[in-house]
Amino acid sequence: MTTFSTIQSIQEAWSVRKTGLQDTRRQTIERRERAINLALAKGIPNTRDEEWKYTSLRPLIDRQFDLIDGLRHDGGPVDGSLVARINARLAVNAIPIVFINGRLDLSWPGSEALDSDYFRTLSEAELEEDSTFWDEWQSTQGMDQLFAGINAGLAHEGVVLVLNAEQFLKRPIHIIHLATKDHPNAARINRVVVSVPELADVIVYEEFISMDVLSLKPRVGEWTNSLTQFKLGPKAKCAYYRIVSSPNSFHTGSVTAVLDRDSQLDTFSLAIGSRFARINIDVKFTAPGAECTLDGLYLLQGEEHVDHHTTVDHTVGNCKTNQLYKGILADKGRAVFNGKIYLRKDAQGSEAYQSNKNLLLSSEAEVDTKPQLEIDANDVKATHGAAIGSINPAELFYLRSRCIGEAEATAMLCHGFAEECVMKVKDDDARALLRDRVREWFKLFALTHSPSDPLTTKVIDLAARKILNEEKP
Amino acid sequence: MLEIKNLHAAVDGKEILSGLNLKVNAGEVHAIMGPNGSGKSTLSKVLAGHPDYTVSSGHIEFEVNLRMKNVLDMAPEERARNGIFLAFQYPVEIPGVPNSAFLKASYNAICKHQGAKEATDEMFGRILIEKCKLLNMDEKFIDREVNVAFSGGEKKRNEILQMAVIQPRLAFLDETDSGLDVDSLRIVAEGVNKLRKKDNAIVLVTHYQRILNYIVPDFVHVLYKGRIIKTGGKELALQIEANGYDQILKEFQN
Ligand SMILES: Nc1ncnc2c1ncn2[C@@H]1O[C@H](COP(=O)(O)OP(=O)(O)OP(=O)(O)O)[C@@H](O)[C@H]1O
Ligand SMILES: [Mg+2]
Repeated sequence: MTTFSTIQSIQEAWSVRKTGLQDTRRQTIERRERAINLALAKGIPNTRDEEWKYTSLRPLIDRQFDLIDGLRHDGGPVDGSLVARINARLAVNAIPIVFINGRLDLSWPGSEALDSDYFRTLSEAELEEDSTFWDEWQSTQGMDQLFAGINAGLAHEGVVLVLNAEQFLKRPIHIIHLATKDHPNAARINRVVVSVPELADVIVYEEFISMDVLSLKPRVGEWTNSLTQFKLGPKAKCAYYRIVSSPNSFHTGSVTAVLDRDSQLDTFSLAIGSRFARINIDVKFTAPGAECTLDGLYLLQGEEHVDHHTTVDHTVGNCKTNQLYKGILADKGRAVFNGKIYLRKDAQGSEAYQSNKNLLLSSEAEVDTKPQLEIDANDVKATHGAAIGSINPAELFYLRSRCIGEAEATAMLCHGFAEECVMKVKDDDARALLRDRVREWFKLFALTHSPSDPLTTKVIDLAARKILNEEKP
Repeated sequence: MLEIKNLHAAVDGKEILSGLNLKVNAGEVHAIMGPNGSGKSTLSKVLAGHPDYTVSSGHIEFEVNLRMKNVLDMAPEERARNGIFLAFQYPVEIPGVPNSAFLKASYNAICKHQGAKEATDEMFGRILIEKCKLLNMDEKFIDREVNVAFSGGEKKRNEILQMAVIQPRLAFLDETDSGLDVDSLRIVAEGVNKLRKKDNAIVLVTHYQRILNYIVPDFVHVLYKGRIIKTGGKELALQIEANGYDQILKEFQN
């Protein structure tokens, strides 16, 4: 295992990775090298860079990580109670694909249901697919970004889902990236590509989770650099639910999506725990009639930092974007939202709705929000807006006048605030799962706060404790 | 059961209530009328404990367990748990909170306050269905977010549903009749009547005589410039309906 100080020594990490790749094809190595070079071409951004204005990479640069190098999980059979706990978190009827500290565990109970008809590992697909396949994934919008490039170069293992035309995967795919205390400083670099051709349909969950959440004690401090890519063919459908819940970890995630004619992509990004997270989502419409939902929710406490940068590019007409991102910030939480929607001159007949709303529960919390709508077409419908506020006193009074105590009322309003976003999710199972995770955040909140915290904090704290008590049998 | 004495209250430094007196006994129905802006909603919010309003002098006492207690010392939720209910003139929308969860939290807060066992989801579900029947209300409102996208009349009905769940001893209904169509008005009024008991009291704030045909008041008060300037029987409401406030205000000014 190589220890390296993250992004400052990517080049070193690459030479190590390259040695490990000797068995693979030359074109794979060359492609990966190009990705690394592209990523590093612009250098490591600092806060003078407009895209990194409110997020300093310092915390990431200052730490040493161990680059995981094995492809497969080698720790022998996984402890049964861990399996049970993870599998209990799966979406209803989902097939699990589990990475343990970055290594794929194909013997995970439940994974046997995966069908080679649509599923391969990244290493298999790199051997089987030629450069035309890979160049397409490499050239999509967003791939020139630092962390996407690092992933494309360094990824040690991943998931390649290529559906057949008209294939409808009845069971959702639930990818779990689990961090355990065995590798507390692991650098996990995994890639997921999902190709949904004409009329095909799939639901993908991707959850980044540390043992912390399961034992509710923040400890594991790994770095996860993920890349998840989607390609939707004509009339294809895909839902992608992404959850980050590893309170002590560093997360840099990239998502790219290319949408063909009349396709539909629904995404939800839930961030409920990470010391440092930067999530980039890039969507591009390439033919008319497609629709994309970008929803997200970030719940921050302690000194957490969560930055969402989303870009939707309407290069063609008659496509629709619907975006709602909401955040609750307690303690010294810091959130960044930057949502760009481009309605290019050929994007006539397009619709774009964007909104970012934030609820601040402490005077030390901070949010920097920048909804950005750039319109070059004249026949479009578009709105955008951002709001930052605290608990609405009229709402609080209304609940209290109905016998509900201040702490419980505050918690109800926080839940309600989050729920407004979760409620938008059309899939019943996905909605229930996201709701569960939101509750989990409240629980974690109660366990990490002492009653000596400032009032606002104490108020949700009390309420969160109430949830805990309710759950005790 | 309720005694308000020489109440002076202000909002944003502006005095709205200037020496208001009101006494309500168990079993009584009072109507409060008065021109726009005279302070009726202010009175209701002060009674419910709205934090924007400050009381500079006077007091409000409410009977709890056969003793008169100082209401001004109580937090809004304590007042509510002790039996004071305000139906808002403008009910608040609470996005993301289902009506059912909201009503259940109210109900259980009272159970807890009274030392009774809290209701489970199932038990409460049955209670709610029964209350909806009582008020002739569509059950679909239970699953919706609190007041969100409710029509004006639906919001008013939802206030009465809350009243039915909470079963207060003193119900202060601030213009619950405004904005209701003829049938809704009758249904709401019948609902309120069904909730009446001899140890409960009702204060109706209204601009119209119409609702008083259903819920017949023992006393009608005229509130003007933050004070009750005239009190009479139910015929006073008829008189106001016919002649407006002119004459009453003239009497008062002389
Ligand atoms: N925040 C505030 N700042 C200043 N004045 C206020 C504030 N809130 C209410 N007022 C004023 O207090 C007065 C009394 O208002 P209130 O709502 O109690 O009247 P009302 O009798 O209920 O009237 P209506 O019949 O129209 O409902 C009004 O003149 C109103 O403008
Ligand atoms: Mg009023």
